[in-house]
Amino acid sequence: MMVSDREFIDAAGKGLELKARPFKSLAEALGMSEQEVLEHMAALIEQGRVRRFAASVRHQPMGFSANAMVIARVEPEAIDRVGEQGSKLKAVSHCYHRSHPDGDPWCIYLMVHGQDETLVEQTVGLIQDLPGVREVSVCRSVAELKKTSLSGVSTEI
Amino acid sequence: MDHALDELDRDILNRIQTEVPLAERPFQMLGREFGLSETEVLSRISRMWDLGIVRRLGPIINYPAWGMSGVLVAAQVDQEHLEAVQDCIKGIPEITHAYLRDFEWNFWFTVIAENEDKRDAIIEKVTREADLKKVEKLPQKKSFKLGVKFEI
Repeated sequence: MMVSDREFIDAAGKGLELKARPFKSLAEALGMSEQEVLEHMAALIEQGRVRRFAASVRHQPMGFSANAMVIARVEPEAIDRVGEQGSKLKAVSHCYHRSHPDGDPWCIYLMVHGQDETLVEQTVGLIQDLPGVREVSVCRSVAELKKTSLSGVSTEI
Repeated sequence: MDHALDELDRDILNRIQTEVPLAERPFQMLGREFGLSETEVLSRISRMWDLGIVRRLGPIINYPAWGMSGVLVAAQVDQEHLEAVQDCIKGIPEITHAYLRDFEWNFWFTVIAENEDKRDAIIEKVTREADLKKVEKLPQKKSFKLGVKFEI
């Protein structure tokens, strides 16, 4: 292959054009054949260096008008259980174990998206009621200052 | 503009959030699954693009596998410095997401850089230029759910 993996992913990261043979223009830009581009992308997925080749979406215009980040302070022994049970809630899109910014290391972070405020509040209530949850903070975003991707490459942090 | 998505739009959206087929004619393949023509699939995705729902069709990378370093940062900033915050993050492509939240820690952002040193240098720069009062990095200890696929 002529280009490095990094050059390849940077070019692919710009995203496909919406046309019948979208990999063709990418292939031309990279000086590769269409088939080589497809095979190389599949190989990067196989190696786990690319999670998947897919659409990135914005939730807001889809009708997810209400959203919140919930920080649940939990009992240390309940971390895994709360994480797993919280993940099963339908309105929860992301769920991580992180430290609280105040230094409390026993926190579960849940991103909650709902079509309306009621669903978000219900979900927050369900999180609060999970065994082992001591306290929840609900942080709503008041402004989205930025939502982009690095060199067009989407990541999940 | 009509923002309503019909059931087929939603099915297509759920499908492409999971995977866009790696094929010479990906939209033709999707069309076969949904009983639609290639043109019809393209026009439905184009419409969702114009509505701002679909942002990009491309690779979602596992950034640590590329030696890159990313982290979520929580910070506290005074209202009078919000403009400085905006100006500062605008010029830093490594800051991919930034939100103001109604919480004591009112400014949250994610940064992804080539390596850990560069990542920390960027956090330092924002702290200085936007006069952040408190700054805390919040790396993932464990991920329970990485949901992108929504039942919509």
